[in-house]
Amino acid sequence: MVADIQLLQGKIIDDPEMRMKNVSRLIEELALEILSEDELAVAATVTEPRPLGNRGTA
Amino acid sequence: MSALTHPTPRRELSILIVQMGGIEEVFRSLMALKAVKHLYPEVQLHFIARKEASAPLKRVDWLASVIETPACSSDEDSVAKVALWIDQIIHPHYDLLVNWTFSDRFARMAAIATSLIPALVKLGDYAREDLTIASFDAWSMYRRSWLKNGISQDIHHTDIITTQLLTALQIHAGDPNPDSGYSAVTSRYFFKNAPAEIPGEWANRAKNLKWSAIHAASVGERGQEWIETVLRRHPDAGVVILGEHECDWEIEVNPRVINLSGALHFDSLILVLSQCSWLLSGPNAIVDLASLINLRVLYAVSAAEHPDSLGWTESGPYGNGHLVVVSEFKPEIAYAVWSYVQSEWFHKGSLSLADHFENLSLSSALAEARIYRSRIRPAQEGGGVCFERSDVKTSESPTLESWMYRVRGQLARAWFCGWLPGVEAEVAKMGMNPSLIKRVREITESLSVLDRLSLEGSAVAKELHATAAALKNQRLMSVEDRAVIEEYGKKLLEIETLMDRVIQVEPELRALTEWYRQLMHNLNGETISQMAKETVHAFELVNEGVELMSLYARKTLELAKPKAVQPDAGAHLTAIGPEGSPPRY
Repeated sequence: MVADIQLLQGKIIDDPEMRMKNVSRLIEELALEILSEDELAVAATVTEPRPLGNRGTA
Repeated sequence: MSALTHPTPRRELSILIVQMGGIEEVFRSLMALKAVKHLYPEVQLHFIARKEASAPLKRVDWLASVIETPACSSDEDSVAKVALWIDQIIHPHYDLLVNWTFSDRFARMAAIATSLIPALVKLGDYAREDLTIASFDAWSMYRRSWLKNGISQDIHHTDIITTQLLTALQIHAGDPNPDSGYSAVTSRYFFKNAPAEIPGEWANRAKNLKWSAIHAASVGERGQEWIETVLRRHPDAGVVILGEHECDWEIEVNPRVINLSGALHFDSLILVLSQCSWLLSGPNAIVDLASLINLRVLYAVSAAEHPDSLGWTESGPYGNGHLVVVSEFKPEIAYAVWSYVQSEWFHKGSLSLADHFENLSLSSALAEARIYRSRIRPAQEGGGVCFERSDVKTSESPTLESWMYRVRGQLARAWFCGWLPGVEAEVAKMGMNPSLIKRVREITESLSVLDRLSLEGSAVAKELHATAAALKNQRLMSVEDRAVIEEYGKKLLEIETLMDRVIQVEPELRALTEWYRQLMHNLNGETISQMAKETVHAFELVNEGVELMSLYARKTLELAKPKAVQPDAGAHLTAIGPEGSPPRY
C-alpha cells in the first residue's frame, strides 16, 4: 500500500561536474548507437511518401 | 498549515519525452500524452524521436517541439554531429524528462540520451557510469523486471506510461486541472489535417459502401478468404487492403476491393483509415494508430506459442469496443466476429456471439478461439483498458495463469498507486474451478515460505544498516567489524538463494524475485549503510507483494469452502408456493 513517492519522484540530477565527467564518453557511445541503428534501419513502416502508380483494383 | 489551506501552486512545466522506439511506441506515447495534456493543459511537451518514426509527431499541433535524432552516415563525423545535436537540445532546461523507449533495439540509445540531457527530474531508464542501464523510477523498474521478462500482467503499456507521468506531475505540479473532467482522448481528428495525395481508386470509391480495412501482412495469406466472404455475403461492404509493402493477393477485379498496400504515406493512410469503419489486423503499429484515431479494430492474434497466455493484452488495441480473436488466423472466425459487430445496432445485444456462430453453423470453430472485447474501466475499478471474454455467457473457467495475471496487475497498482480494489469482490468475479483451487493451495505454501524469507531478509538488512551506520568510516574498519558485515552479507546471499529455490518449485511466483532482482540492480547508495537501507526497502516491497498475493489466495480458498445453508432458507421456499409471491430474503 506504499505509494512509493521517493522512487516515483525520480532523482534530481543537476550536478554539472558529475555530468561533464562522462559526457564525452556517452556522446561517443550515442554516436555509435545512432550509426549502427542507421545501418540496421529497415524500411520505416508508414513514413516516407511512395509513388502512387495507377495500379487499378487488385 | 498553509499546505492545508492553499491549493498546490501550479506552474508551466516543460516536459521532454524521449521515445526512440518504433512507430508503435510513438503512437502509444501520443495516446498517453494526450491524456496528460488534457489534465494539465499548461504543460509544454517536447518530443525526441528517431527520424524514421517522427512523421506522425509533425501532425500533432499541441506538441511544443519535435526533435529528431541526427542522421549519421559514416563514423567520421558522427561524434561531432551527435555532440552538436545534444548541445542544441539541452538549451531550454527541461523540468521533467521521461524516457519511454521500451524496445530492446533502441533502449541503449535512449538511455544514453537520457543521461546526457539535463533536467530537474528524470523518469525512465538511463545509462550509468559503467554504461549499464538502470531506472530512475519504480514504474520503469517494473517494465524492465516484468514486461521485458515475459511475466504477463494486466496493465497496458499505454496505461503504465500514462500513470507514471501523471503521478510525477501530481507530485511536482499539483492536482490536475479540475475543469478537465473525463472525456475521450482519442478521435478521428487526432492529427491535424494535412493536404495528402490520395490514390485515385480511393478518391473515386463508391461512397455508399461501408468500408473496412485489412492489414495484409499481419493477417497473412488467408486474409483473402475473409475478403471473399465479406464481398459474397455483404453487398453493402467494401474492403481496402493496406500494408507497408505491396501485397500480391489474387482477388478478382471488383470495385468493392481497393488495394492500397505499399501506396500510402502517413498522411494519406490517416485519411483512408478515418473513412473506414473497421480495421482487421494482426500485431502491427497500424493497430496503435487505429486506436489513436478511434477506429474500431478486429485484432487477430495467434495463440500458437502459448494458448493460455494473456501477454498480448499489454500491447493490444487501446480503447472501447475493439474485438480480439485469439487463435490461429481463420477467415471464417474473423468473418463471423466481424459480421456480428456489423449487425450490433440491429440486434442490440439480444443475440449472443455464440448464437451468431451457431446461426452461421460455426459453433465448432468458436470452440477453437477465444474472443475478447476491450473496455476502458471506470476510475473506481482501477482505470485503464481491460479485455473481457465475449464468446462465453458466464465468465471463463480460470486457470492459475489467468488468476495470476490479474493478481500481478493488482500488485503493481498497490505498489505504485497505493490503490487496491475490494479483494473479495475481485475474487468472486474471477470464478473458480477445482484445478485452480488445487493450484492456489499449492502456491499458498510457497508464498508462506517467501513471506518468512522476505521478513528475515529485511531484518538482516536492517541489522547490517545499523552496524554499517555505526562505523566511523565506511571504507576503513576494524577486522572485527568487517567480519560482522561479511556475515550479514553471507546471510543475505543465503536468503536470495533460498528465494530462488522457491521459484524453482513454483515458477508462477517468479514475478516477485524478478522484482527483487531489479530493485537490487538499481541500488544507488554509495556506502554499505545506504545500500543496506535500500535492501531493507526492497525486501519490504517484496513482502508487501507476498502478503497481497496471499490475501488473494486466502479469499479464493474461502470462496471455495462449502457454506452451511441458513436453517430458515427452506421455510421461505416452502412458504411461497400457493400464493406464487416472489421469495423475500
